[in-house]
Amino acid sequence: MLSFINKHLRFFLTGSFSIVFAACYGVPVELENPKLISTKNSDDQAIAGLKVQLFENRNPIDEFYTDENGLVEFYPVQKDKYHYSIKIEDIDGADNGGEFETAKIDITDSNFFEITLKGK
Amino acid sequence: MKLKFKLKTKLHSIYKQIEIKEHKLSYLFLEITRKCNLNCLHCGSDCKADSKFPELTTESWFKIIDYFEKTYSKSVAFIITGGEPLLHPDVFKIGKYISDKKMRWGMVTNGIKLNSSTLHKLIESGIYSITLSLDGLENSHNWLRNSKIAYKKVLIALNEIGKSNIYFKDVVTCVNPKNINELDKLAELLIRNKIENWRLFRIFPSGRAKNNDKLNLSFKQTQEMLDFIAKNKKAYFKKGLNLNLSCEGWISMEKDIQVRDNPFFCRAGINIASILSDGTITGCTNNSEAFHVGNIIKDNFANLWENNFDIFRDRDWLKNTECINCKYFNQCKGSSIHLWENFEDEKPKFCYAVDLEKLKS
Repeated sequence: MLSFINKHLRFFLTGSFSIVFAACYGVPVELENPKLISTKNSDDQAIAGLKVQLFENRNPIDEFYTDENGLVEFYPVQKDKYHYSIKIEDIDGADNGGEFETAKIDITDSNFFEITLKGK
Repeated sequence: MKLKFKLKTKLHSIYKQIEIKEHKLSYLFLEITRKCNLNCLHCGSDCKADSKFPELTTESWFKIIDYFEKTYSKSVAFIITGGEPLLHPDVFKIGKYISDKKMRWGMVTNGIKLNSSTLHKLIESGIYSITLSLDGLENSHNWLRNSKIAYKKVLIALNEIGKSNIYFKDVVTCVNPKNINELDKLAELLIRNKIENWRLFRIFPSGRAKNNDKLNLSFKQTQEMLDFIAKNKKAYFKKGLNLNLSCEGWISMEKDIQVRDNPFFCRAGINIASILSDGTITGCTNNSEAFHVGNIIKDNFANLWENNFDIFRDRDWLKNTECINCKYFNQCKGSSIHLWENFEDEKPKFCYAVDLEKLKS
C-alpha cells in the first residue's frame, strides 16, 4: 500500500512513475522499472517453470523461467522504435501442474503483466 | 513561498518518510579496488596506483553478489567503483557474473583505460550504465586529473561511449574555479558525442581536497553553477542532453525543480549501501568513517540493514548540531550524509541553503 501511495506521489512530484537516480559518484539507474510477469492457470494458481523468451524485433534476445510464485522479473533495455514481445512456453509437460498453451504478449510501457494460461 | 511549492515540499516530505520506512535496497556500490592510475588533486578517497589498502578477492565479490541476489530482489543494481575499476584484473568477470544473473550493473571510470577494446568487453559483460568523469577542457581537466594525457584519453572514451548502445551514458563534472567558465563548451562537446546525461558537482572538501582552496567553488560561484543549470536545462534537453545538479545538497523546492529532475533526497542508507574494498559496509562510498556500520566479512548485511542504519534514517544525532535551529531543518534533515565528518560536527561542510541565502542578503 505504501509503495502504491509513493508511486503516485512520485508522479505528482516528478511527472513520472519511475525514477532515474544517480548517487553522487555512482551511475544513473532506473529504480522502479522492472517488468514483472505473473503467470497463472485458470484456477488462479501460479505456474512455475515456464520458459519466458524476450524478443526484440522478433529476434530472441533473452530467456527467463518463472519461479515458484509464477513470477519473472527482468529489465529489458528498450530501444526507441523497436518492438518487444515475450513468448511464454510450458516446456516441462505436466510437471508444473498441467500442460499449458503457449502465449505471446507485446511488451508495452506497463510494468506489470498478469497472464492466465489456458490448459491444453 | 508560493502555494504550489509549499504543497510540493509537503508531499515530498511524505514521500521521503515512506521511502525511509520501506528502505528498499536498490543501489549497491561495490568498491572493487582502491588502486588508481591517476593522482587527482581532488580525490575524495586518496587513491593511488600502488595502494596497499586491503582488498577482497574476486571470489569474495562473487559470494557477495550471490548473497544479495538471494537476500534481495533482482531489482538491486550493482555499481562497480574504485579507485579506478578498470585496473581490477577481473572487472569484466565480476560484471558478467552480475549480468548472468539477469541483474543490472554499471561502472564509474576516469576513462584512461577505456578504448574501443575495453568498451567492447564491458558491453560483452552486460554493462547497463556507465559514468565518465570529465572535468573541463584540456588544460583544466589535465590540471585537476594531475596528468598530461588525461584529456586525450577521456576524449577517446567519450567518443566510444557515445557510439555505444549502453542504456545510460552519463558524464560527471566536478565544477571548480578553473572550469566554471567552460561549462557551455563542455555541453557542446557532450552533445556532439551523443552523451545523454550530465551531472555537475561541487568538489567536496574531503580526502585530498580537504585543504585545497583552489578546488572549492565560492558561494558566489556555486550560485553561478546553479544559475547555469537553471538557465540551460531545457535547451540542452531539446538537444538530447539531460543536465542535472548532482544529488548533493538540499535547496529549496522552488530552486530545486529548476536544477534537478528529482528533488533532493539523500538516499544513502535508505536505498543505497556500499561494500568498500576491505569489506566495510556503509551508505555511500564517500561517507566518512563515522558512518561505517560493519564489515561484510564478519557481519550479516541484512541484519545491519534492518537494525544499524538509523544514523542514516532517523538522524537523531542532528539534535546536537546547529541544523536543529535552522528554519529548513524539517525539510533538509542535515542535507547529504557525505557532508558530515563526525556526529560532533556543528554543521555540514557546505550548506547550499543557508550559505547561499547569506550571499543574497
